[in-house]
This record gives sequence, structure tokens and C-alpha cells, in this order.
Amino acid sequence: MLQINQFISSLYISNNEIKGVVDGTEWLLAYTNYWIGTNGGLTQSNQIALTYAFSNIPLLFNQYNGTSYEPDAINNFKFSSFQFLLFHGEFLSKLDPLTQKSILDEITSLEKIELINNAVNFMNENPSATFENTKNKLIAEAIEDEIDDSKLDPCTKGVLDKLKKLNQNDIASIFEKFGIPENGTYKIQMVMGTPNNSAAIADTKWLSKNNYLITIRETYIKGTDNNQKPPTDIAVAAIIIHELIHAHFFALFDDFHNNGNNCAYDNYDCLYEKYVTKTYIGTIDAQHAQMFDNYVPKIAAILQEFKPGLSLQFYEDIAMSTMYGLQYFNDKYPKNSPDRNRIENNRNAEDSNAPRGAATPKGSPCN
Amino acid sequence: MKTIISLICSILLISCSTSKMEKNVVNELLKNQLIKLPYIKVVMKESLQTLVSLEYYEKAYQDKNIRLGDMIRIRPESNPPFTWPIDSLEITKLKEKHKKDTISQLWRKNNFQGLKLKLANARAIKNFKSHLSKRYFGDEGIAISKPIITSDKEFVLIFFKTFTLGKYSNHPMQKAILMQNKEGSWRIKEIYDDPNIIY
Repeated sequence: MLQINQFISSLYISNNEIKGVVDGTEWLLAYTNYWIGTNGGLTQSNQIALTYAFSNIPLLFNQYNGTSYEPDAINNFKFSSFQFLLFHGEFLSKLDPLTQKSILDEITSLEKIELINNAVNFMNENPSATFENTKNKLIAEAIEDEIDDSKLDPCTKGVLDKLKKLNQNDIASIFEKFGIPENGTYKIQMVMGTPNNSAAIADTKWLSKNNYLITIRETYIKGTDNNQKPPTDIAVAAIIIHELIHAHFFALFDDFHNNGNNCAYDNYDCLYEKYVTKTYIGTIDAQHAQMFDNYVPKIAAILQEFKPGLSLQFYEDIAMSTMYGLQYFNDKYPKNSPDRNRIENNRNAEDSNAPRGAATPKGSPCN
Repeated sequence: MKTIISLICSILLISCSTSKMEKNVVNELLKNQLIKLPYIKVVMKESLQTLVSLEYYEKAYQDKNIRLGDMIRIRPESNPPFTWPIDSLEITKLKEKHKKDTISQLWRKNNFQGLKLKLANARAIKNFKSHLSKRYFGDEGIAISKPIITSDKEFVLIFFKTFTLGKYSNHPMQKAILMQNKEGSWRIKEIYDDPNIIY
């Protein structure tokens, strides 16, 4: 016991900042003793972890400042940060200083502690994984998990679930590939209902900061309007992907304007010009221009994994068909051109689950 | 987008022109713009509610000082700085003038003389099995409001929606347009839409 007290005392007096934090945190020494007692005593590993934890608590204990935490939450934040440092201290101390800094800089809220804890656990089990890649992967998966599908019909929900479970190109990869929002606490709800415009098949709404609603037209999904047949799962998947990219763009908007991420629009030229330099000029809106620039091959790749075994041309056509009606589309595929006819026929066949021109439906109806 | 706006301008100015000056403008626009519009084939017979264009403008005007990032209901499409040629007094005056203007006017063929556009009623447009929908399947259509002309006759507000024949539209538009009379020629001054909804 004397050895433990001496060790803790040496950490306590090693630095005035540490001393200040310990003096101002009444549970800290008691918990440290408890932790040593329940984790095998003052082993060499635990000494490294304790040294790492105490050295970094002055930094971490103040990193909640961007939140609006009440005193109880602040205390929870400090306690969880300290646990994180103790649990991962030995592992973190072996990483290069830049990576260590990157990891510790992310500890800014209770949600972030949970996320970074998972990331470090993953890195511990996968030595080749880098922190940035791991973090991005986990954030993307967290956003994907946040999609509220409780008000979706079984058909659309089934398509969404299948998209989520794809191995290489699932929905999360949309977020991962083109950048990760700074703040992972978005709310994305997807419902079957009536879009704002009476002619629209679906829409995405920015309801409030970090809060988005995707609406897919009920009569389209059910095929009840005008005696249409329900669409195939490929058509539904294309719509879901398209709208989720819009939600992602809204998230980038919030990151830049509301979540303090000045780099949110890096690699998104159209959105950057629209919302930052305010110089965007185009024949279509900035979001769709960005989608044209970056996402059509990605949508095609997701569809290919969603329903494999079809021609590459078919996936590209369905991906491009989500841009139908935009000026860019009209300029690239003039009316009555062979390419336009093929794209229209392929998409219309999936929308109506019936042959259109030379195209037959390739997907499966789910209603 | 520009071609659609141009078409709207043409239609607007044909439909609302009661004065000789406006008719001249319409003819000018028809000659210059119609040839660029291969995708719009159908115009809805019924006009949209007149006041919607003014309501769009008013919301944008009321929200003009809201920080980007907070809720802005309607926003100009162009880049700032924005100009606001219709002030709150004029908005109130125009609202009063058009408050009873709720009857959906039916456009007539002679409103669109010289344009190769099919006039069709809303019921046929909305029925995907109608003869119209089958004939024009995949083509674009447009519905427009009656124009609102400012007291000084210098500006016009109009509202429009686009749709696809025979199927739901991937990218319908619904926007208000402000046009300005410059030396007898009508030019688009600004376009307004809801920045919180995308299709």
C-alpha cells in the first residue's frame, strides 16, 4: 500500500497542473486506488497507464467546453475520460506522438468518448488499422445506425436493411468515402408518406440543425396510385441512396455552419462555392451538381453489390437515372438519343416492374 | 433551369399581358427562347394560386437577415448581396389587391400562340394512365400562377411548378421568380425557393 501511495504521490507532485486537477476532483484519488486494487495491483503495465492518465488529465478535463453540459454531465465527462486514459494508457503511450494527439483531441464529449473508445479497441485488435480510418469507419457506421426507419413500410425497410448490410459498398461507405461529418450525432428519419411537391417521388428535408427527414412517396411504393404496379427493389434502392446523399450534404452544411468544422466542404467544390465563397453559378442546384461530380459511380457500385450479376451498363444507367430531369442530365443525354432512351427504359422498367421498350425489370418486387 | 425559366417568362408574359407593351415582350421572348425548350411539352390549364409567389418573396424578405445555418424558410437562389426591390409596404399593398384572387384561372390556347405546347387539365396530368400521360410519357410539364405586377409596373412575381408526365418526377421544381422591366425588356431579377427541401 505504501508503494501505491508513493507512486500516486510522485504523479501528484510531478506537475502543478496535475496537482490542480487532482485537488479539484474529489473522487479522483479514491477511484485511482480502487482501479489499482481491482486491476491486479501496481504492475508495470498499470504504472505506465497511470502515468499516461495523470499526464493527460489536465488536457482532457477541459475539453468539454464546446458542449452545454450541466455540472453532473461535466463530472461524468471527466470520470469517463479518466477511465478511458486508464484503460488505454499503456496502448496509447506506444503510439507515435501525432497519433496520440489526434486521439486525445477527439475526446470532446461523452458521445465522442464512446466512439473513440471503440476506435482504440479496434486499433488494439487490428495493429495495421490507422486511427483516422478506424474513426471514419465507426462514425459512418454510427450515422448509419442512427437512421430511424420505424415509420417505413416493410418493403422499403427491407431494402434499407439490405443496403446497410452490404460488405463493400453499404450506405456507410457513402459517408466514409467522401468525408466524415465532424459531429456524429445526426438524426436521420426515413418515412413513407407524401413529399412536399405533389409530383415528387421523394424528398429530403433539413428540419433543424443535424436533423433530417427523408420522405418516399407511399403511392409509389405501394403502386396504388393510377393503378401502377409497385416498383422493384432496385428502383427503391436507387431512391434511398440518392436521398441519403442529400442528407449527407445537409450534414456537411451543418458541420460547416453549426458544428464548427471549417473543413467540412473540403473536396466538395460545388457546395463550397455555394455556401462559403458564395460564388456558385450553375444550371442546376449545388447539391445535384456535386452529386453529378462525385457520386454516380458510387451509386452504381452500391447497386451492383445490392443486386449482383447484371451488366455494368445497367447499374450505371440506374445510378444516372436518379439525375433524370436535371439540366445536366438533359445536356448530357439529349432527348431521343440512344443513351437517354436506354436509361429511361431501364429505370421505367424498374419503377413499374414491367417491360419498357427493350428493357425488362431486373429487380424483385417486394409488395 | 435557365430554359425552364425562359419558358415561364414566355408563358407568364403571354398569359398576363393585357397591355400592348407586355404583348410585345412576349413576342420577343417567344422568338428568342422557345427554340431552346425541347423538354417542356405540356402546360397545366389551371393556374396555380396567385398569391404563392408573393408569399415566397415575403418569407425570403422576412428571413433576409437570418444567419446561414439557422432556419431560413425561403432564400434567393443567386449569390449575395441580395436586393429587395419590393418592400414590406408594397407587399402589404399587393396582398390586399390579390387577396380575393383565389379562383384558378384556366389558360387558353391563345395565351400560348406560337408555342408548341399542349394545354392539359390537371386531372389528365395526374392520371398516369390517361391518354395524355401515355402520349407524353417522360416529358416535362409546367404549371404556373397568374402574375403579380407591382404598383410601379417595374416588377412581376410569378410562381411555377414542373412535373413529369406519366410518372412521378425525380426532380420537380417549385419556385417563385421576380422579373424586372428594363427599358421595355423583361429580365429575371431573382429566383426564390425553399432551401430546406431537395428532391
